[in-house]
Amino acid sequence: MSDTEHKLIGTLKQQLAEKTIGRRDFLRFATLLGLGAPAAYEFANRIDGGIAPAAYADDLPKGGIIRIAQRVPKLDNPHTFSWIYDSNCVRQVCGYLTRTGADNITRPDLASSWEVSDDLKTWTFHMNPKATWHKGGAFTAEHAAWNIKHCLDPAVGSSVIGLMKGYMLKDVDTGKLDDKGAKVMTTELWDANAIEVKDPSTLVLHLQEPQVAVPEHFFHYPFLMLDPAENGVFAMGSNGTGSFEMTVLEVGRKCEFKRIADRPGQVDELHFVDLGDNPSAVAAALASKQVDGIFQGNIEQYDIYKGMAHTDIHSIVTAQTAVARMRSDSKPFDNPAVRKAVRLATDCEKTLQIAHKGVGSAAEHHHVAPVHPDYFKLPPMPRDVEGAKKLLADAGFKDGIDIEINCKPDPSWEQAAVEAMAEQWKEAGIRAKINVLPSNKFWEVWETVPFGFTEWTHRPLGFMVLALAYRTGVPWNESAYSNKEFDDLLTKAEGTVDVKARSEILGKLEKIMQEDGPIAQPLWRSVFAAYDKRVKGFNIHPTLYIFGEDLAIEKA
Amino acid sequence: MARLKKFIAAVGLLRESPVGMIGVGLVLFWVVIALIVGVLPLRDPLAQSGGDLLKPALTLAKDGGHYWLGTDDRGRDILSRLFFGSRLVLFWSSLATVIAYSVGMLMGVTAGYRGGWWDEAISFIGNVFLAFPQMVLFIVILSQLGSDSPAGHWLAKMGFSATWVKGTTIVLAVMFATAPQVARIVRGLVLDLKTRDYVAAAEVRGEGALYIMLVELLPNARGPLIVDACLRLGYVTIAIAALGFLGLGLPPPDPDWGKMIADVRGFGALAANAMIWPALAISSLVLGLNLMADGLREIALRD
Repeated sequence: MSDTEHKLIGTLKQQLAEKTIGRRDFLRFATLLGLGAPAAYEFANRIDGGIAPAAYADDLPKGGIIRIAQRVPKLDNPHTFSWIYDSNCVRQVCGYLTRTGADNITRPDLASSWEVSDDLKTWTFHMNPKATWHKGGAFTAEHAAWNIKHCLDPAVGSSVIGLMKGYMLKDVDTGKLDDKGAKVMTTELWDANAIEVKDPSTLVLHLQEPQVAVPEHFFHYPFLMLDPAENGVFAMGSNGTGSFEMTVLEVGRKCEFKRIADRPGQVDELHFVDLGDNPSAVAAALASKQVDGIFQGNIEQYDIYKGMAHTDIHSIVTAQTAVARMRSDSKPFDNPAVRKAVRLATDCEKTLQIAHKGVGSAAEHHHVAPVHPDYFKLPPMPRDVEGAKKLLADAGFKDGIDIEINCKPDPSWEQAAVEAMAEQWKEAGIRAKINVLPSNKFWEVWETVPFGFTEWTHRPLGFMVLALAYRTGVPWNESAYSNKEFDDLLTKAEGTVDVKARSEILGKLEKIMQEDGPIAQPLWRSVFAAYDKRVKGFNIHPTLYIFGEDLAIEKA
Repeated sequence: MARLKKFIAAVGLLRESPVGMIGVGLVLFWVVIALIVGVLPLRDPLAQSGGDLLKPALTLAKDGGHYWLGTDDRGRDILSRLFFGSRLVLFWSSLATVIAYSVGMLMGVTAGYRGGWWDEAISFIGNVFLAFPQMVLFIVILSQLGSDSPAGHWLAKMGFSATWVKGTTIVLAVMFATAPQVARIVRGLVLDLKTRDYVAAAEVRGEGALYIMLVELLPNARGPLIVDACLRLGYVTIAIAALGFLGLGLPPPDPDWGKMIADVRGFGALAANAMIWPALAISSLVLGLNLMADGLREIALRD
């Protein structure tokens, strides 16, 4: 991507040649540091004899309408999205600066190339000269800067803050006190010049801490590039840089997109059809060909989809999960021993079998998945009922504890997992009442209930999700977890490009999560979607992102 | 004692109705099961087995025993859950019916005997509730009085378990939806009964209105009410199962029959075995109550 290769790319090449890192890790980090994906693949192929992905087929069928079963929620404030569904809708209209593919490799999008300084603290992004808005005019560095600042504005409440706080923001005292007399803190850019527009096509980010994953952060799903003139609000007729324009939006019913004639893509229209929470209705719609594909299959119905002769199942191993998270500022979870006791009382393997029919893998209570390149393999943390009892007794709960866990019924595996864990916890004296809330009600209180079971989607790097969910004070820190050692190690990991060194830091973070962390995590999910065989170009993304411009459909 | 003998004699009359006897048999089966389930050699209804998911009936378990009716999606024994579930179903549906009946009878007898603005006011309130489809009324009441409502929080704070909190709100929902229906029947009966001589005699004796309503009127209206109570107990059983199916019933992991169906419905035909047994249990109990009511009506008409 640039003429000047980052010095660490040489290290990565050496590590790949010496087989101290794998092909996947090499591709991921070399591209993050600015090496073009074709060049990275070529080098990796020379070393390991692998085959580069096939070039994008240009002979896909043209025209037609693809209908996909997916929830259609409100879309008005994209930078605060907390669902994949809503981003899948707006993604058809608006783009991202970068794009991480199904192979977890990050490639250019609205930013056509980037370079990073040797210390990983200065990132220069060049805007794609071919990127234009639907309503005319080029996509510029000013537009990108506005979107980044909007996402980092604490008043907006975007989860992007969780990703970028460590290197772009600093804590600031508002001068106010809360009800308990504590200082009310907020955040602002760590330096007034942290986001610099060098010229209309060049954006420079000055970081206070080294960070290797900036290009991947730009593909965090709420980080859509919106037209600054619309002030962060998305609606019918909104401007964008993508292949489609939105023509119909009926929340809870459907959302339709029409491809703009001169933009990339094959199909004429893309429709999202909201069939509600009932997975049977979704399966029935695909079976009767009322839709051509589904956003995600319910694990209970895997065999039903397998039995549909006209469909293909697309599945992928992911870092998708759900965690039983305990608010560390609520009793009795303010005691780390209680949190660890809950973990020790959990049988992850059994929960995987019962709740997810064994499709996936057992987790280790630290929210870093084996599919993450920075995953560090710790010694097993098996179920230890006696250990859990002892921890509770030492914490002053000799007779066990009575707690209430909140969960939602959709998707159904979550409630099944909670029921399975609650049954296991009994043996250790942890008596859990299960409060099943309707999904919409659950999402009103998911951050505030003392104990809840929350789903987390896939993130390409292990430390990304740790930064989003467990760094002190970030918007999605639903467990109110705060640990200085953890925060410092996280910041260090974010600035470490050497895969092996980073993995070792992750190992320390994982250990902290197991010993002190606020979660019990039973499993990692494999996910799947089913599409009519007539649909071409679909490549399941681990985060279930849908890219309409890649899809095509054969005539019936 | 004499009254008890009279009651037993009345029930004994049911022997003359074959349909009624079938009903009694079905209902007694579930009542006996609910009473003795604790001493039956059954598996723990909450115990899960990851290796035994959705097993068909008569499957050999890993521990050497049998899953006589198979297992559900969490590897729990269906027979055990059905039998333990019968306690919950019978207890909560009976309690809800008794409370709805008590309130409904009080409303109906007051409206019918007092007449005037009492009748106007009670009938108006009843009609307001009857104007709503029953299931909609249940859902509205449960969402307002459920475990997440201030009332639910208050009950939880008072030390009631999650099952009691949810059960109480279900009872209240059933009461609001059913009591006006009962009140309407009782009012109609009382309008006729209050013209009888024994009521006039009681009034001449100087008995109070409460005495006349509870001692003179209600006992004499019992015939049609007993038949209706049997039918209504069946409706309430179905309603509680439907609420369980919709996720508004008793909290997990209690073996609520409606919830047992809802838990596995996502598996479609793959879980036919796990769905059919709780469905049969609900049907058999409701059928039993309906047949029993038919038998009672048959005998009442003979008199």
